[in-house]
Amino acid sequence: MNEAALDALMERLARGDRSAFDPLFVELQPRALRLAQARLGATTAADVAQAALLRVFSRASAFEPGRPCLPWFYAIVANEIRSVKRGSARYVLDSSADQDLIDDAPSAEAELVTRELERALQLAIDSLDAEAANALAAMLGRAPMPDLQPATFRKRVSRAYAKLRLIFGGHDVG
Amino acid sequence: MSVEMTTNFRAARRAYERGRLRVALGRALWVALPVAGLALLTSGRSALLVLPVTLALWVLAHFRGDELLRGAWYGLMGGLVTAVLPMSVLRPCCAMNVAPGVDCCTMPGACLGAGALVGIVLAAAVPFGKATWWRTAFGIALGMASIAVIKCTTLFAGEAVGLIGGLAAGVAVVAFTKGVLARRARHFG
Repeated sequence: MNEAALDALMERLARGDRSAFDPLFVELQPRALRLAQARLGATTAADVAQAALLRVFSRASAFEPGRPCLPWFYAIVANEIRSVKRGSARYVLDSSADQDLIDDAPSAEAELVTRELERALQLAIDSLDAEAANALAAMLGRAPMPDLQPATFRKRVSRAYAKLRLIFGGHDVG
Repeated sequence: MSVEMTTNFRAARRAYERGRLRVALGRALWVALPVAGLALLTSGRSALLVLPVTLALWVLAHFRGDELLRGAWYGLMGGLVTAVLPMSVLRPCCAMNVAPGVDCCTMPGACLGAGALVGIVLAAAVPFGKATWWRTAFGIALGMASIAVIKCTTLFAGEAVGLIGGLAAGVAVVAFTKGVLARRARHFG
């Protein structure tokens, strides 16, 4: 399913059209699981993915139509993963021990997750105005630096980050 | 779908419904508060007693969303008409200077007629598009009732039932007719 179809489904669900729930769950569940597996390893991935999905669907009614779905979705999942990592870090005495559980070797799954995340970021940047999008592209090295004073450029990047944060869902981004 | 997947699916669906209810409560307040102001202006403090009904109806409209909510917004506009209907229309047998009661009649029939007229005009004017007729009609009736109940506080019980019943009947008849005509047009066209 392409991104436009996902956006349309999420818009329908936000409006209250329950028939959009089933196809959305089928599309989003594997995405959440893949990201959780890539970041946490297989042991806790399923639980974290499910917790993230509960948050996604709990907030689905507040999703703003016209915004891309995937950046918003990944922001919530990533936030859930971060909070689980923070929570488990308190109990781990040997930080190298849990690293063994995460498979760091490059795999097709990990590549897919990376591609999806990059695509979600690109979608979010594309939905910004030209000035903000150019500033972020320059920051990421994807576009030449604009001919601006450093302070002006920093301010522009800061504003662009603020707009990006809104697209990702404001408070959902930790 | 595996058992675990089914459990996860159901939990996600419950989370969605709970989230929807939470959002509906907040959004319904944005409708109920202006209606409370209007109620105070048009019908006095006694109208505030029925505001929980208005709030509950709008929580339902926002919770179900989609066609029902769309209809409810149209209904709200129609309901505003009933809120400003003069008593001389709803109770035409009363002289203007006579207080309702012993020397004054009650006219549920007039309320029924006025309600039906508003319902018919509104349901005829609302574009249904591809929406299910009964959901839109239910939404219109719900939106109208949410504000018509304020007017009911100034009426006798029979008149209030007449007004709400007239609204509901007017909307139902026209919406059903439009639904049947649309289905026939699709079938033969």
